[in-house]
Amino acid sequence: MAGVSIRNVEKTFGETQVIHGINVEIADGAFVVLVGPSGCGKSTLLRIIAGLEDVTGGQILIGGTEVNDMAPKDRDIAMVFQNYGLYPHMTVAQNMGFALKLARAETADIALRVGRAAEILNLTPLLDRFPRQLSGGQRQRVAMGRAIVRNPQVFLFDEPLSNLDAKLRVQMRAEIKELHQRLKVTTVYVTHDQIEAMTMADMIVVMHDGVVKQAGAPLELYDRPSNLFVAGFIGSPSMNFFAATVTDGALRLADGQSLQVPEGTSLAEGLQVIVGLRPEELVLSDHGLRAEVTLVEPTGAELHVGARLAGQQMTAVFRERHSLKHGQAIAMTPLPGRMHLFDPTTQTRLN
Amino acid sequence: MTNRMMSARLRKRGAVWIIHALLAIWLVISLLPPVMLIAASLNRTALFRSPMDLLTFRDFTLENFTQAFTRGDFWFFFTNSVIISASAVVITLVVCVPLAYGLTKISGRARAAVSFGVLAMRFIPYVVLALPLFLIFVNLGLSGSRTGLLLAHLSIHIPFATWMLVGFFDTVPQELEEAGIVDGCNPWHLFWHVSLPVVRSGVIALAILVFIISWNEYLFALFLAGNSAQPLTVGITRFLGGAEAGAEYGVIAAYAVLVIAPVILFALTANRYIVSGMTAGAVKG
Ligand SMILES: Nc1ncnc2c1ncn2[C@@H]1O[C@H](COP(=O)(O)OP(=O)(O)OP(=O)(O)O)[C@@H](O)[C@H]1O
Ligand SMILES: [Mg+2]
Repeated sequence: MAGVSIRNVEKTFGETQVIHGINVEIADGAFVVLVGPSGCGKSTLLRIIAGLEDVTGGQILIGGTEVNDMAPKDRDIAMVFQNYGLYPHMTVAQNMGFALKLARAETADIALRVGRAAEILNLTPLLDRFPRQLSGGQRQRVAMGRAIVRNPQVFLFDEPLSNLDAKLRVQMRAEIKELHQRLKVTTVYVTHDQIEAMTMADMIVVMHDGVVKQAGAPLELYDRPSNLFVAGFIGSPSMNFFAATVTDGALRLADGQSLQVPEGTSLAEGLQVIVGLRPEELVLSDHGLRAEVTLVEPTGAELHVGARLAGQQMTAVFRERHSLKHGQAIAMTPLPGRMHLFDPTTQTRLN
Repeated sequence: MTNRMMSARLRKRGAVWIIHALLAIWLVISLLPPVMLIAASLNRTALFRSPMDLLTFRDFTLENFTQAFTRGDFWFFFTNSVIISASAVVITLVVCVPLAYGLTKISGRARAAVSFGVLAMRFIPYVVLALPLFLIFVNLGLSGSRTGLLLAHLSIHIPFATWMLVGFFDTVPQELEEAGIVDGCNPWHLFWHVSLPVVRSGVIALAILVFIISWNEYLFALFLAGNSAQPLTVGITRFLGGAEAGAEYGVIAAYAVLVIAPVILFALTANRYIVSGMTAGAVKG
């Protein structure tokens, strides 16, 4: 096993630069999720680690060794592709053993290792089937089996669950996580689904337009997003943002209502700020921000409420079953210490 | 069930019947010539007989086949046909499979240029090529040789096969080859163990097609085969003409049956490759 270091990596396709100097240190055995909107360069970065793309600048180290000029097969990595990339003309067993066969392993040894991996993934009864005879989830597991058979130093996943239906996705998510806990192999996992990122990762790397916006533990990103992009990206439904001005030591919103400046934060009088409030970090109260209910969506476990506040649409999520109606006037306050303040020009966190 | 649903259903069933009836008519029409050919080959006097007379085998005989074998130098023509067609298949595949694979790997403009060149060959009706090829072959001393005729066939097959094969290789998902690269394939492995097996049934279907086109080819053979390289399609004309041509129709029919029999047998045995879905399951689905 080995850690992965990504140092000042840049990538240019023709004229367009898609990765702008990325630095990430991935600890040995960590489960790291690269997350970000479509086109932000997640796949490109993963393919650079795999060796399917060359870097334009910077270094990739696996286990402390620079691998920039190494072929993928020499990097000791295994990759699981979005569409699984299973060889259609090979059985499950042949698919899983192909890399070993290319490496000229003994037939008995291949059978042994394929058998062991199949057991881990419950694929033993399917070993003689062809990929076309498998369900989506089973194909997914074969693709993972092909990766673990080789006992690599690093696993790379590129949106491996995006072709599965919602229920199966949750199940496979748990399976992948379990597999990681069992094998403890360094894993880099790409997704654009922030829930996948939150639930699976030891460390999340949020990317946007080819740069890292923030990297850290899931709850760290959730509790203290270091910039507006991460604040809006992590969390579902996403954070509400309001422009405010520091007036008389309070945060005054566009409609004149005001919020207290959080404790331990000092802001200059007259400063423009952006206040971020997570929907699930608001509580109903008699005083506080007054808003008008526009939408009530009970999901069973939670109550999603759309409302108009300070001239804009916002969302709140309550765990209590308040009986609210369209048009009703409510008042809300953020939970203590759960307010996020950002600088509107630099977009970075203020508190 | 409402009336409307009933009538919709009846109408649908009616449509299915009409389609089946049309297919049946089409089947009879397309099967009639070969059936009549076989019938004619097994009757003593084929000409001036009504179809029903032929189909009841009123004067059944195998004499026509004996004649076709003994009088027509059958084995000489047959050998030429087999050698030319088989060589055409082998050479076409050996040249075009790697060529097409390579074309799918090179990018943009180069690929477009080569592809257009290859396809442009297909714009020319090949009758037009016969005379220039004849003149060239005479000058090169290739006229009247199997090698010459084979080369002429290849001038048709290679552009056609390359074009088809590029289409096949384009269906191989890039992800599949990338999986291969990560698994440790070198370029040869990618071609031989990953991409080629995926397009295998297409390649086999193409091989059959090339064989049949070569086997049935007549025009080049007429111009270029001279006396020593004539295939079966030319050989059959020996029974045409002459004073009592009418008497020879049974023999011609027998000969024609012998000409098409190998092709039909070949196509039937290889049928399962022509219709097969090897790529199913390669990617999601
Ligand atoms: N081979 C290529 N040639 C040119 N541009 C490319 C190539 N591959 C990717 N790009 C560009 O690089 C950018 C990043 O692509 P990438 O595939 O890494 O995005 P992504 O974050 O994985 O997005 P998604 O979530 O949609 O998969 C995109 O703008 C894309 O158009
Ligand atoms: Mg991607």
